[in-house]
Parts: sequence; C-alpha cells; structure tokens
Amino acid sequence: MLTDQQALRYSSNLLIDSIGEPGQQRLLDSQVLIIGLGGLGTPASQYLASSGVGQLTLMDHDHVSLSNLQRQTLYGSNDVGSLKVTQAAQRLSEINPDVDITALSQAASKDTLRDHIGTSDIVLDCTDNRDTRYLINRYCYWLKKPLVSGAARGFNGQVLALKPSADHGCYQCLYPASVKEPLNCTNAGIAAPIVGIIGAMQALLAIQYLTLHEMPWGRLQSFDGLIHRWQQAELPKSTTCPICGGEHANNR
Amino acid sequence: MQITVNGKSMRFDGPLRLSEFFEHQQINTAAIAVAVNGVVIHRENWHEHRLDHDDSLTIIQAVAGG
Repeated sequence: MLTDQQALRYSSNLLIDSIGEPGQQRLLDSQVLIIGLGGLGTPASQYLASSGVGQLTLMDHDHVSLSNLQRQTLYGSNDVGSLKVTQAAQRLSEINPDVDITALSQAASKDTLRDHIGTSDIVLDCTDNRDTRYLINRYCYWLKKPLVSGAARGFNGQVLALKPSADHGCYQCLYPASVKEPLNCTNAGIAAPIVGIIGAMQALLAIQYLTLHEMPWGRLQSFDGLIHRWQQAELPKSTTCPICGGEHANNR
Repeated sequence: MQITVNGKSMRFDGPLRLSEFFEHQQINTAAIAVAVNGVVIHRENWHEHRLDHDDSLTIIQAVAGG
C-alpha cells in the first residue's frame, strides 16, 4: 500500500494503466544492479531512482575526472577526484530519499558479480570495456538474471535486453572474442546526448520488465544519432558461443 | 541481384555469399556484426550464408563505451 507521499510522488506512473499501483509497488519492491556509473549508468540510475525502484546497487571503482563531466550528468566540478559511486549515491538520495542505495566502490570481478547479480532482479551493464561485459554476461547467464546491456561511441548507441532462459543469443554471441575490441568513449569520443538516450533506454527496459510489460528480449536495438534512426535485429544463439551455445558452452 | 545495405540500394551480379560481399566491398570486418533481413548472422556462418535478391543488410559497428 502506497503512502500519500508516494501516491503523489509517483502519480505520473500511477496514471499509466499498465503500471498503476500494482506496478508501482513492484518497482518499490525491486532491486536493480547498475554496473558502471559513467555516461550510461548516470542517466539510467537517475530514472530508476526517480521512478521509485526500491533498491539500487551501484558498482564502480572509478573516480570522477574532469573529462567525465561532458556527459556524466550526476557529477559536478566539485566532484572531480571523488569516487563515482559515493557521489552518485548522494545525488540519487537527493532525487528520491525513499530509495535504498548501496554504493560499491569495487571493480566488477567474479566474486563481486556473483554476490550482487544473484540478489538482483535485473542487471544493467553500463561498463566501458569488453572484458567486463563478457564477465557480466557470463554471470547473468549462469545465475539466470535478466541483463540490459548498453553501449555507445561517437554518434552511435546500442541496447540489448537478454533473458538467460530464452532461446535467443547472449552478448558473446553478438560480439565473440574473434571480433576486435571495440573503441570506447575515452579513446574514440562520444556525443553526450547519445549516452543519455541509451542510458534512458536501459532504464526504460528495466522498468518495463519490473512492471511486467512485454520485453524485446534478444533484439539488438541500434541508434544512429546523425540520422536519428533506430534499427533492430534479432540475435539467435551462436552454436559456437562458449557461454550459451549448446555443447560448446562452458557451464561454469 | 539487388540488395539494400544500411538503407542504400546496391546491385551485384549473380549469387553472392556474405563473406564474398564483404570482400567485394572491401569492408573491414574486424569489429562488426551483421544482420540480414533483421536477423544477426553469426560470423562462423558468413562463408555459407547466401544473399538473395531484395535482402536487406544491416552492418553494425561494435561499440563498447559506456
């Protein structure tokens, strides 16, 4: 049962027929793990906090640098040198003090991922390198947790929602080790609104899932920010994928 | 044979496999994924996947930044 304050705060959610009070209660009862509090993680976390997701776990070991401020909108000039998760947790608490925020100043590793993915309802991969993305994909698949993977560079962004028990492929099916390590925002640049768009999409997909809406599982959505066009492609399993690909898969 | 590549129409003679298309167009495939008619074709199948008239290709640059 929502309090009067909650009913007022979340009134715009409540007015949506397919969310309503049951959906809002589900959000309040949910736990979301956000890995990476950079360009994608900051907008995603803002929308999830303001929407009333009950528990947010933030994982990032990095510190705020001056060059982050162009796109990482939770941070200001006075935050340079501070831990991202500490500053993010503070800002998100200001946005919505109801949210229970856990700030983990840890790199994503086997141990940290196993512990925190296991207790989450859904995971947002907002990281900036392929090795970490592989690790998150692997543990989400093994622990059967839904994953929303976002990525961006230049004027392009991609988002992909994955459900481990489904028939579609996984992140490593899309980008196997034979694909050259893609450039990231630091070495190839990024137009700031692109991470805002993709991070907001990740938050939207999490809210969709948590409020029991239909999901575009296993469908890669790519955004070209110069012609403002989205394209979609279904991602089948790769039979050679070491994570989900049948007899080739390494099941731990 | 006419196919569409990232929204642009292109013409080719005769049957063409996906790997031949990349060679013909001198496309660097090191960091891409590709979808044909809205379905990702995995790299291990590029040599055998035959393109048909009116196919639509989407070449997707791998990105990892966040």
